[in-house]
Amino acid sequence: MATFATAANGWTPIAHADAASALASNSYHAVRTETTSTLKVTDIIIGGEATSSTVNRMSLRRLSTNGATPTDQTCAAMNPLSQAALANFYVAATTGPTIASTVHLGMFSMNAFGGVVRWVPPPGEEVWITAATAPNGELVLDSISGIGVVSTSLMFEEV
Amino acid sequence: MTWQSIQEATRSLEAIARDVAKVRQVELFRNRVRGGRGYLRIENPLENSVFEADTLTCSHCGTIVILNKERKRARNWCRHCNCYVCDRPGCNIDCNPQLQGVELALKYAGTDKAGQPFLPRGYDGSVLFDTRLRDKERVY
Repeated sequence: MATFATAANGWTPIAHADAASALASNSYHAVRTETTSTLKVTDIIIGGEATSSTVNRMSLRRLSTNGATPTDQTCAAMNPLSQAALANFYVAATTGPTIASTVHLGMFSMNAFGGVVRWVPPPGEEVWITAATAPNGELVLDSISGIGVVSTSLMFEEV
Repeated sequence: MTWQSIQEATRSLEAIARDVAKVRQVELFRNRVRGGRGYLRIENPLENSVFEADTLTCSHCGTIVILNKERKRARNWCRHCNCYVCDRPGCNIDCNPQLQGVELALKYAGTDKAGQPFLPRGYDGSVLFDTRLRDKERVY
């Protein structure tokens, strides 16, 4: 299956509690499916770029309301022979998404002053999203606490 | 070579193939429980330290679980979907795999049930969608 990479460069997180609504642009990294697409996350990399020690508690969560009119960015195919991804990612929207008050899929604590996090699941243990509609169709990678600048990559396989 | 000897040879080959398949299944199971895990690496260059840990993903709620090497208690396993499940009570009461949620979300996409929370789980791991939709599809 085709794998794709999404990357959000040098963004400043805002501490978002569960149920935080209308997230400000460039304070999150969201991935969205289309009605006909399904994907599973195969890799997450977070690189800290803060200029002093800052503990960031980054989290992978689902959304209760999708971002309205997101500024879609194209996902980069890992294999140049792949078809274009149906899914998109975004870091800005007319009205930002609302985080679901449900289990957090992943929690990654790091020192944003040069710290790096990488998570890779084994085959069959990925995190899935599908069918566009909230709360099943989108994921957001953002901060629960800590506002150190980070760059994030989220790779996925479209099935 | 007689027809009978060919049949016997075929039967013994089939038996070997069955044994190999069984061994592979056992290895797969062992790997999933003990070895074949996700990977988490956190680097902190300030302290020149690296934290590395295996991870498992709960088959039911989808949470990434960082494995504590010092843990003594047994980990949970769902006999229905034959996968690891986390410690949340909702994940241990019933079998509601994430993939079942994907199937339901796709099935009901474009209908008035599309907004049902098929994939998210409550903080205790409990399902949040109308379970009657699931029971219609359930085979066990």
